[in-house]
Amino acid sequence: MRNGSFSRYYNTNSIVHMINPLCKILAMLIFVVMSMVGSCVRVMCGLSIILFFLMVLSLVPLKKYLSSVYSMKFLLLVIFFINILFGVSIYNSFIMLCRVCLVLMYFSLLLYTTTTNELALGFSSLLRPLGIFGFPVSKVSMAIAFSLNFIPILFMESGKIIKSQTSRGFNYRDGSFKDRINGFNSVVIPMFVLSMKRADSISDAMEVKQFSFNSNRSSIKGVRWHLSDFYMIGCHLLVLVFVLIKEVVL
Amino acid sequence: MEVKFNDVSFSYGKNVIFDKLTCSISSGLISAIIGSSGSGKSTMLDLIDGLIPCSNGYVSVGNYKVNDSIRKSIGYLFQFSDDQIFNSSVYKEIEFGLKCFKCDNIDSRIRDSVKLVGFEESILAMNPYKLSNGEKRKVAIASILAYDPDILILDEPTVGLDNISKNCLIKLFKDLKKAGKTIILVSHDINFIHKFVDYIYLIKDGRIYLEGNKYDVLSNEEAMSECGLVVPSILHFSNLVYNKKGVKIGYRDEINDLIKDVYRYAKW
Repeated sequence: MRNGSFSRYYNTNSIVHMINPLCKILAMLIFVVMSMVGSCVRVMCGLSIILFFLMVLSLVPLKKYLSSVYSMKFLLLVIFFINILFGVSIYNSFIMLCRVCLVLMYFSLLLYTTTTNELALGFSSLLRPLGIFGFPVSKVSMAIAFSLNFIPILFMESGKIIKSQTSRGFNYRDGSFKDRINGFNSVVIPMFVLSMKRADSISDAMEVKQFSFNSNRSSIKGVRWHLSDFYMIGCHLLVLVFVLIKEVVL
Repeated sequence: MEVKFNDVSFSYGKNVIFDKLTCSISSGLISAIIGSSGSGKSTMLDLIDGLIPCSNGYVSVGNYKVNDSIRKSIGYLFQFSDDQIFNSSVYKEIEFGLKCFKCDNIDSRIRDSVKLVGFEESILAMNPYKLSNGEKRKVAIASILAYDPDILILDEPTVGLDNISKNCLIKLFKDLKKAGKTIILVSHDINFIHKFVDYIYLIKDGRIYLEGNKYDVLSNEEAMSECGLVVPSILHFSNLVYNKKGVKIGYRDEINDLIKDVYRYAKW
């Protein structure tokens, strides 16, 4: 996480990059459902093949996907051992681990192939139907857009803060567990202050430019559906049907 | 303590920053590393402090290769050093580094360091977030000086500071040099650094383009322009007088000294 391997857009102009963001988000949601419903090794293998196929098509080096999962190694180990502690069998704990890994990798695929602005556009399109019920779609999508744009900046800033505290003698790698937890403050507090500062300056800049939350947001590109987008959603839905038949009916 | 770069190579991914860089930075002097943006100045400082590992070659400080244990003898002031602040009082902020380096006499070190940067002891109880940018920078310097490093490395120490604060820094750096410290700094503020540095390294495309006495480097119009920098106005004036009138009035650090020289040569 520290080197930002989990969240950086990687432009290769591949076919996956060209797919519209709403389609990619929907496909990811379908994939999450499939991995949650799937409960055997065969389904996990099938999902891994689909994911591998998409990763190859994205032309992003496979090493990047693996490093994004590797950066979450502690979380994965915690999930695995908590399952075992609560009496879940090793087989099921392993399946759970596979699910989390697959979802993480699919999420990385989404982040590597979609810019933050496209993601925000995708989320706002996804939430648009909720506007009928009075849900503040434009406000929420703006908040999502800002949060997504902030992720790489915050990673960069956290790297700088870690460097500066390391130069003052703090050891994030070899200190005792207690020291490392206490030392977490030395990164979290400056990060929090920095985020507040940035949020403040952005709100000032928006106010200067007469930004209004109440008017509808427009977009130059918009979300346009192409044949490849329908193929992607269609394939995911087809696999979802297979997984449901396998898990529920058979 | 002398700092040596021995055939150091470093790259960010495919972007090669240094390829077999070799140079040595003398001890007891104030040296400046200058160059255009992206030329690798700050990376050099990170390598000296061992914050990033060399791809090839090594950096040595004194007789030792740079590693985690040598960090105590190096004080690194970051460009936006006020961003590292996280404690509720100046005292605790300075104490953080001292505890990390397991120093003794923590209380007396803290009190001495704030005096060294020109603060009263009363500042120790204050919340660092309520200080001005210049004061925060001084707190960051105090937190470094408290553990008494032999080498100080400073990344753009004057960014965002007014003239009074800059002059305070110059005095402080000169005092530290007298106390035998080695100071290495990176700055774009050529008109500021030429007043107190001894030696300059001009870098371009990851290699030392020119190094030498500050007047030799900073007054070299061709080299400076090649590296995307401008000669300090005070030195440029001396060059101009020499080129137009053939009179060598010499180089001066302060404008008042230059005016006196011009007055003398003009024989008014």
